[in-house]
Amino acid sequence: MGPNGSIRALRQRCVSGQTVNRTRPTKAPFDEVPAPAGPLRHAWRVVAGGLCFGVFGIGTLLVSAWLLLVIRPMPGVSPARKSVWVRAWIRRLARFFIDLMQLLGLMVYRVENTERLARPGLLVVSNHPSLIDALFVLGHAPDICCIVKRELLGNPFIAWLVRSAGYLTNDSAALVDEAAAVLRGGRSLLVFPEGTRNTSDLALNFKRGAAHIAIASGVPVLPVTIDFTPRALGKGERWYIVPRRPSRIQVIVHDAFDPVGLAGADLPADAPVTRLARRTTQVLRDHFVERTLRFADPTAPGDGQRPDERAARSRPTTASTGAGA
Amino acid sequence: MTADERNAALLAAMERLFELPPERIVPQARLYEDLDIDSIDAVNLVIELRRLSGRSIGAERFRDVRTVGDVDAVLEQVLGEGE
Repeated sequence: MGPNGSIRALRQRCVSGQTVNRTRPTKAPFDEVPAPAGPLRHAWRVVAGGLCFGVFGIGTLLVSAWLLLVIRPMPGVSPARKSVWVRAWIRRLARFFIDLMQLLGLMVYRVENTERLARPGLLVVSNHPSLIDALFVLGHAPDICCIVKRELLGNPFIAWLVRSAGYLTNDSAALVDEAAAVLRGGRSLLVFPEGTRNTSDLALNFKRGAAHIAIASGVPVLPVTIDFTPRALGKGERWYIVPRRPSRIQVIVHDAFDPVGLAGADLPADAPVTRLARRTTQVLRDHFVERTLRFADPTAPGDGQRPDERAARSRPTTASTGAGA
Repeated sequence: MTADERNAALLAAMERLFELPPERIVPQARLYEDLDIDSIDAVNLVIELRRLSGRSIGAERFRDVRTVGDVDAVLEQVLGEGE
């Protein structure tokens, strides 16, 4: 009774805040800026990165096999129900991969306000710095659809998962209507308005597809910002180019808002949808720019960044110096 | 419809749909690269052209359209067919 009793008493005191004033537990490594790795540690991280790609391939194949051999032939279950199961497996896989990467010391991550992803039927919109961005959202949302690049169907490891999960591909002529149907059906949808991985979070070159989907569906937009510092796994980068410092990835789920309403406020009621989409895209982008400007240390000489990347990130500083000179 | 009327109608339609200043809507301007007109915009432009020409225009006629001049050529062709 003795030790158990005292532990219980201690817990109770902790809960009531009498003796220990504990704040919400957070992952300790995330709050420290990771130190640059020595050559040995860096070499290990390159190997670990390769290992992750291997595990990713095997994991997706295992889940695909499970779905194909067991779930698909299962009688008496509707295809819609099965696609819910597929998405649940994708959630587990996504979570497993990012946790594995963190465990191997490749990066540290934190997703804030995940409870906001639980609300059904939201258009989830995110900036797109890296290859693994979608995993943070897919791994933390209860049931979410997404729009993927057509080329993903050519990737044998994930093509089958993408198809059976009911994801939409960006080459469809009716994409906006399909996306709106998903959202009106009460399922959330993840979209990267940049259309592809960006080369700088300062540019945020948003295409207008996301705005059209917001207009057609009438659902609120849930902005997600991903601060990936130092940048890695970017567009056109080789997987073995690993930054000296492990990346620190802060994913923030912001409050849902209505960019279409804001955009429509200063347009005539009979304005064509093409104009509303332009205005909405502007509102959406401004909303993101305001939030990504707070990203940690955007001008730091992050190893693993390409020179053009560094230049793009430090442009504001250069510009102000130029103006002063 | 004369050539001038047709030009003016196209200019007005593109101004209205895409918020473009008229001086940028020149025959050699490329729709995607110069005027930032995407595939959804193109669909809306075709709908607008149907409305102002009063003809049904198949989307396939726009497959090789790249510039404002190309759009005008299709429009001219379509209007010519009816006469």
